Amino acid sequence: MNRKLSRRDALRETALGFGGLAFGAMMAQAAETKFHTLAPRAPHFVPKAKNVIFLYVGGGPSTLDMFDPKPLLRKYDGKPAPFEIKGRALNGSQQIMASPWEFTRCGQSGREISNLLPHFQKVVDKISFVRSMQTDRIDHSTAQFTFVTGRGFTGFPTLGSWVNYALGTENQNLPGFVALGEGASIGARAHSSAWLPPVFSGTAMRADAQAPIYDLKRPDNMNAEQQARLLDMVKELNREQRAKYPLDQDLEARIANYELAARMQLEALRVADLSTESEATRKMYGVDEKVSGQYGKLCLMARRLVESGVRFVQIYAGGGGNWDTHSNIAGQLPGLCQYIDQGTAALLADLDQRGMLKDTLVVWSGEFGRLPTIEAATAAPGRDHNPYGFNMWMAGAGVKRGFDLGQTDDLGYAAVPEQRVGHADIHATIQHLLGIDYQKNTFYHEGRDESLVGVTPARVLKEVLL
Amino acid sequence: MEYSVTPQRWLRVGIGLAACCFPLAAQRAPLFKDEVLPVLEKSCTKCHSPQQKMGGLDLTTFAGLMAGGASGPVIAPGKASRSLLWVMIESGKMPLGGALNNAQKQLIRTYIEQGRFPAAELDAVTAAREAARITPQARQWWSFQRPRKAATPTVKHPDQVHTPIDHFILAKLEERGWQLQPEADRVTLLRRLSFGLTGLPPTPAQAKAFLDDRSPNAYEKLVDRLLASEAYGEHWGRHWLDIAGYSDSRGDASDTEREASWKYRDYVIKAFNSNKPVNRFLLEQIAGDQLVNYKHGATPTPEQIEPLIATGFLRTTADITDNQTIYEVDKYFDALQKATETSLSAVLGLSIGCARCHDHKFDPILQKDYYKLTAAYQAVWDPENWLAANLSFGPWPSRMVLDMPGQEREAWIADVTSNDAKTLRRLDDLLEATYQRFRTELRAGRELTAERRAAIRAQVEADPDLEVDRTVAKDGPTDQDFEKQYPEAAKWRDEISAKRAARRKKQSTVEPNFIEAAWDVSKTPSPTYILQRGNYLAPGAEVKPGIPAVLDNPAKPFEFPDPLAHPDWNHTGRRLTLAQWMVAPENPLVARVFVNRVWQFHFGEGLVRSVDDFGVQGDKPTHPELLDTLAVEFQESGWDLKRLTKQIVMSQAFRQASSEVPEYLAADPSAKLLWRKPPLRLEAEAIRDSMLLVSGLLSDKRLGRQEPIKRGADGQWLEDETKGNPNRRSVYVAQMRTRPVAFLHAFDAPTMTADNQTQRFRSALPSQSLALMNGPLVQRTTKAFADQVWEQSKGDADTAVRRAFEAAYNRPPSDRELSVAKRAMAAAAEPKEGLRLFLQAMLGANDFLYSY
Repeated sequence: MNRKLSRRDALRETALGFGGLAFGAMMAQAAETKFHTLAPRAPHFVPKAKNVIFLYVGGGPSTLDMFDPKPLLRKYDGKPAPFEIKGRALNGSQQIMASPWEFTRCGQSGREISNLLPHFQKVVDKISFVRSMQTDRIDHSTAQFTFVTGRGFTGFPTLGSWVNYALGTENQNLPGFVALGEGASIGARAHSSAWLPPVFSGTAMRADAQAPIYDLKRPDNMNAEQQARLLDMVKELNREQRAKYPLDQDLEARIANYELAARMQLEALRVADLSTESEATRKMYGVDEKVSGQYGKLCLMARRLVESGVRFVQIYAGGGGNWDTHSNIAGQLPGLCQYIDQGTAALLADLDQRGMLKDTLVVWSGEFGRLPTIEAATAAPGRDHNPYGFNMWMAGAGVKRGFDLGQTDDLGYAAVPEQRVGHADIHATIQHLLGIDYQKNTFYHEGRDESLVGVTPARVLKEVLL
Repeated sequence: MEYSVTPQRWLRVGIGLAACCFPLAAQRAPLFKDEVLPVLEKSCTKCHSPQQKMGGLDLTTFAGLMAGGASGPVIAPGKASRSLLWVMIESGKMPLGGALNNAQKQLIRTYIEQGRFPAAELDAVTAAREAARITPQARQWWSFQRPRKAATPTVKHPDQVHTPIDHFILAKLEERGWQLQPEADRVTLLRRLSFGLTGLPPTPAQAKAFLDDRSPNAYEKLVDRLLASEAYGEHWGRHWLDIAGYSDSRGDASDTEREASWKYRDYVIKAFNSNKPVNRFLLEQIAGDQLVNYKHGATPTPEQIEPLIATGFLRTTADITDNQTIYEVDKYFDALQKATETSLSAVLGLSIGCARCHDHKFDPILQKDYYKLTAAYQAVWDPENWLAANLSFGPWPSRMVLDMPGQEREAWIADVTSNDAKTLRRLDDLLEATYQRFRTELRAGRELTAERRAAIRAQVEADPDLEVDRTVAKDGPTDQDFEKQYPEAAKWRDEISAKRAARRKKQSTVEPNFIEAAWDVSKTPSPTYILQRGNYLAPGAEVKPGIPAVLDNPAKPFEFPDPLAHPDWNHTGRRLTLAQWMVAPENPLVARVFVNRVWQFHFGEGLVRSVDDFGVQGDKPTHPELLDTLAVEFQESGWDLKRLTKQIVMSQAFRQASSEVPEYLAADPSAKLLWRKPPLRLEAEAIRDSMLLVSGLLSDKRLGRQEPIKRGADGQWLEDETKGNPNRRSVYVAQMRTRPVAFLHAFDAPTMTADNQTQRFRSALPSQSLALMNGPLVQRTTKAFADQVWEQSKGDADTAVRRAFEAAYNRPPSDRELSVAKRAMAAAAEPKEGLRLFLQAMLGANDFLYSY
């Protein structure tokens, strides 16, 4: 893309032709002073998806034990693997461990899902699995960077920021990119805009009806009336500056922002207030459940955010090393699955019943999976990281229902080479569904037009699309 | 990445073994013209022709094939798996029209592996390609010419100018029939200068002193006073820290805090305050260790300490070499390359990052140049002789200089090399991880029985490479709660304390004193290779340290000395040579780039707007003669920054009003021609520091270790008043990449998740309004502010409001403003509460947030 032919310049051109001198000056100033907004922008082509909910399961979920049953593992259970299995440790154990859980054939697609996920079993027909995922990173931080920014290093903008940069967002009273829940081990870098303008960065939100966003809650010593008075006084104080600089967009925006902030306060508190949902819906998401309630709330909030026009919602499923089941996987995984199962299934079912699934894309993935072997022969063994082959899934807008793309080998170790799918393919596909040409969504940075996919070979996964 | 043997491959290997031995033995190297070219012509040259040249690649000739395309070479002779041509063919990505058949594929592969690629011919192809980029025309680019002083232009309205700078500005304006604005009013000027030089507004007393001074040189006296104040170095040091990419955390997986980064921060602040000549400042930061001949592993002498601290400049980029995993090596290269790129772009103003993978697309920067420059840094970050960033990441010696007296030093080293410290760190981690899992369990609604607790503890202990994320919020019970409730938890804590005590007994009682420095680990670093497509697994030709070809003199190429010819050197001398080249008078870029950055911090934009890119894609200077004149004068003055600064702020260009002139604004909206001094929103730090200052809270404690931060009630990061002083200037508050202080972050303070940030965004976002409406900082500052003025005015409403205006705006209130304030006080239950609310409005209004 030629830097000189940016959208900003186009904006300036039309603005100058449009109105009087003052208006022209105003728009020209906006165009030239790196003024980035979240105003909605037209996609490159007609999109299938309007919004994305990205269920990000950091830590390396064992998809082998969740939705990728391999009967051959039973045969080798407890025995050495028939070929070398590589983990992180140079002398990792080669002993196969079959999944400790039973799988049930579900739905019309007849896919087998672990009994750890009873709710998910009921919605499995709504989704497409990509079963031949692989990544070139084996530790958490670099694999997570790769999965959310396309590069194995810190310092690059995340998927959600790129989407916001390309499309803006529908509801100006809410952020365009919301990160829900705590817990990517790379911290805020999992939703940062890095060198994209800060307006495109993810805003951290919590499932807390009182204070879902930083500084959103009025201080205890300020009631609504006082706040209204405060805003009136700010306006009064700004009056003289306004008169002196009638054409200054930045000053204008700052004044408008107080009103916007006040509206956001109402809007975000409204979205975070789950008590207005019907009893049936609350039950469906299990928001009052002991184990799954927290995640259920996040999922319900995600639906409400998307409903309110938020472009991109990213939910972190559990923090720290939760999904990182190096040891005692038999003890840990049931609880982890229980934590996300009901909320995830409810989200898909609820979006579907409301007709929202047709333009909302739901994506579920971790940064890698886990090996079919045990990590070490202990009383309660676990599984080591597996970047060679794992599963992720997508559902909703423009994605086939009940479809499987690719597979891992018969031990669930590595993606079949010809079928390998990488993060760049996923990034290309998500952008494609949103109507973004992933090669044209670029930002000029340090001498080059950067994009999310960059020079990594990528393709849109057409097979998965309707 | 090489894949391990999958079942499919495993099978294939078995079947394949018998089949392939035969043909391989019988094969001979195919000939390019007779055998390879026909295949290429059939399937590839429709797009990869001299006319189409898709991907920059021409496959119609041997020279074209060897020259490669936009992604660099496509052939690595002898190595099919490293040749892009083969990789694309094998993966089926090319040719686009349909895959080659097996015989054709085999032919290409055999050609790459066994074909004839004489070194001389290859060199000739490379030389031709490079010559095609480094043309005489390319050398003519404006920023590659040595700057020359220009004659001061004459102007039609000499009454409008103060200094020669103004002649350059006004002459351009007059070409359009435009003028400079008249001087701003004195209060505006006072605040503008005060914010510009110190990042703080004037106190009422300082304001009074200036406003009462009617002498003709009152303004100049003000300039001199502000330049001499310590706040100047704090504010301008902060600018440089942006350029350096400074952070108090390491940017690794859990973003650990850096122990000694603050010493570099202090070095920068002191350098600005003492007006250290900028050429010396740059030399020290890039090669301080070599300037003082520091030897790897030695205890620094007193004279060596400051230059070593200065090299902290090279240590600011994220170091993620923390996880000892099997894919470590590329992280080594990344650390090396990031440090090279960041420090060079800061000083040279050229984006060289592109050349990591291929010749720069637009600028005449070769991939070879990139690796020549990297070679200068290779002895610090030597991928074949790696030092861990600190002790948490690996064994001693790590990348820290120990600044301790002999005995303590030896005792301490003996201790850490016995791995004791590492064990203790792991113990700390075990405790943290255990509690984190406890909290997860509780959140998940599970009961924490004694068995469950023991099991969790056992799991955590069984994890050999525990990764602990210390940024996770401690929702629910605190560590102390666990220790109160569960007897064994208290015991774990005691065990750790006991071990800590034992350690203290074992070594000296003094805490280790580190410098986070960069120095040559050896005099003979491993060779530097051009990495094809930036891939460390595909090393190409070896290169020696050097400067970019386009800046070199072909008649007399720049040479780096051979360190082995200097037996007294403890280092390679490479960075010192590079730095000396940079600050030499004939270097065309460095003084210009620096002067332009200074200009940018005063006016919001540089004379070259793309402050980091003086190349072909960058912006051309709006006032080239002015930039050059300032650059040369700067060099001639001995790189005297305060002199340059004074030169700029004394100009009418700086002193003129910021008024809008619709006609000018429509034609030149961002005042490229400097027809006004545009109003600027203050930087995050200046806003926070001003709030603290006007409310009487600002601490005058300077320098030293960073102030700690904590999670606030709604999850945001803010100053931790329980462990430190929450009222110091923002430059002293811990700046963590993943835990930015929410207030500063909202106002665009950089997090340095990317490497550095040379230009701040000045965004206008509702999150900023929310911070000023509801945030903890505005609450505590307005409370203190109200208390203070109320106290000072003994409860007299009028006086209180007047005092507040003097403190926050340096002017009296208008009648209207006064009545707004009084109404607020009347409407509140307590007048002071009403006053507080009004003061909050004052701190949230544009008068407070802008420098006009």
